[in-house]
Amino acid sequence: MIHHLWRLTESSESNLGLTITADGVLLGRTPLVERRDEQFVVRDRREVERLLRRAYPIEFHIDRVMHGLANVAAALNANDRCLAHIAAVHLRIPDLANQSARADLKAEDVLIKSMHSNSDPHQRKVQKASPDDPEHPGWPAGTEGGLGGKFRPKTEAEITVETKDRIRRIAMRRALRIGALAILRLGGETAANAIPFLGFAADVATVADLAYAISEFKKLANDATAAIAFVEKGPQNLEDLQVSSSGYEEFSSYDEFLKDSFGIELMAKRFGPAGDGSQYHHIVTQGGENADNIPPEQLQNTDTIIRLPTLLHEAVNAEYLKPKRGTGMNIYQWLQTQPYEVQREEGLRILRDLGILK
Amino acid sequence: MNVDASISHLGEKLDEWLGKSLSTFGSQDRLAQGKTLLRGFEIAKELNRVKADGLTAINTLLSRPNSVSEGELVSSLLNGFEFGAKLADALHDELLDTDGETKVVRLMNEIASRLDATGSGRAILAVLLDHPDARVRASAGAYLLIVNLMPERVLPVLREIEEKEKGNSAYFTAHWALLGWELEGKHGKTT
Repeated sequence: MIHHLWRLTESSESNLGLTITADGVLLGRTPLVERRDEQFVVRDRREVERLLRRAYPIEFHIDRVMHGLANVAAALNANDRCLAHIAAVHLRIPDLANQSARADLKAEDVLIKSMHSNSDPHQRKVQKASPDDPEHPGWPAGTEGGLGGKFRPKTEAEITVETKDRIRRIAMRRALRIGALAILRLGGETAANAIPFLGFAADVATVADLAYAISEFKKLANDATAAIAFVEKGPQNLEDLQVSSSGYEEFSSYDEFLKDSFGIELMAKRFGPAGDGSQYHHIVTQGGENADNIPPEQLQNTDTIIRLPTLLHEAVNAEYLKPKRGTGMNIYQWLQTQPYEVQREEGLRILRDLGILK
Repeated sequence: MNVDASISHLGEKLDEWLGKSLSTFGSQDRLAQGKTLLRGFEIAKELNRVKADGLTAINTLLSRPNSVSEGELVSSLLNGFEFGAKLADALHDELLDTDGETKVVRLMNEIASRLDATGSGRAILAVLLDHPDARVRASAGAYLLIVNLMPERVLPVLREIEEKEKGNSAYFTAHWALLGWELEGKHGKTT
């Protein structure tokens, strides 16, 4: 007769068995008992049942497992790790079959927690209008015309707050990109070791990489300043963003637009010299299919080209790069399958919806 | 903490870090700059780990053997779709991470294709039209409307999102789905 020896395993990057850590009782890397607010708590019975069903082809007596987990949690809360280990061994939960089963169990855990987020206070609920809610503003009760309690359009001040928030997120994204690139170049350990040497004799390449990252952050600070100055004014009129105030001009190519002395003169007059944290934006996108299907004069003209702070331009581009659900295309590609007029109308709509344009 | 909430939370940490660090990078203090960079790297790495966990969860779900019952498969795919909608939109709205968003949406496309092959078909996504999260409702509506399924149920849901949510992913998902449906002449057709 073969007797199974039940045991716990050491916590590691690849452990397959049950283990007790400061975070709770884990099966592989998935918690069955969790630490919440300094207390060890057994997970919901349905979750434990679902996890065990995912992990093993055998049925567990769930009442026995829940009772055992409660004993382990109680011992941990009493700071009796020895008793907790004995109670955990008595659970008689075998090791997971392999790393794939470990990953599968973790995936199930992520999905379970995602479902739970429906009751998470962070979660956006079905929204109701309220006079006190800046995200979903409503008319106060008693407003004439039966408008009380209904949604009202956002004010320019509210839109400005949202746009500032968006700029902050873009700045974060660029910071992430800079951070990620620096990590790739340096590696975590190298970066950590490089710090004490800064200002002293150090590896030239390492210092150069850090200096590059720092200079990029400085550029980010300049771009953020330019963008914030722009949004302080609130949403603007299209005419204020266009590069010409003295009539329509068209060009045979974007290069011609950039080279044109008239354009340069206006740029200098309206926006100052290059490098002020701004870029040109085409309301109807100029590359891709449009380059072949739309005459250049329709794309390269003073009605279509506007000047935007770089960070806001990145926000606009992100909306074009958004994947169109259920297709293999992003919005940039999909819009280019539509007529010019639709592209222009939607280009303006994106600017309005982002709070850039009135 | 679930993945999309973790992304929001880390986004807030990154936001706080950025607020403090921009003035440091404007200074001449190289040591402070280096230390600040390292703190930023840590948050960036944590965000990458959370994103990777989310993508792995959906990939694992899609690579599971077909031995499960159809009911269990559909339930699991719906769960993955709901999770994907929240993850994709959190990546976009919190970080403007369109690359990460695109990876998740490709997996959502795959989930929709798998649902198409089941007895209930993609129409089962209609159960998500009542979901409390506008991101999930918008995506479910968009995937139904793109194949002209149940427009009478989907259109009011998407129009309501378009009216109430401005400038975020739920809004744009609803808007592009409605615009595509209108422009591509699906009116009057039935499935």
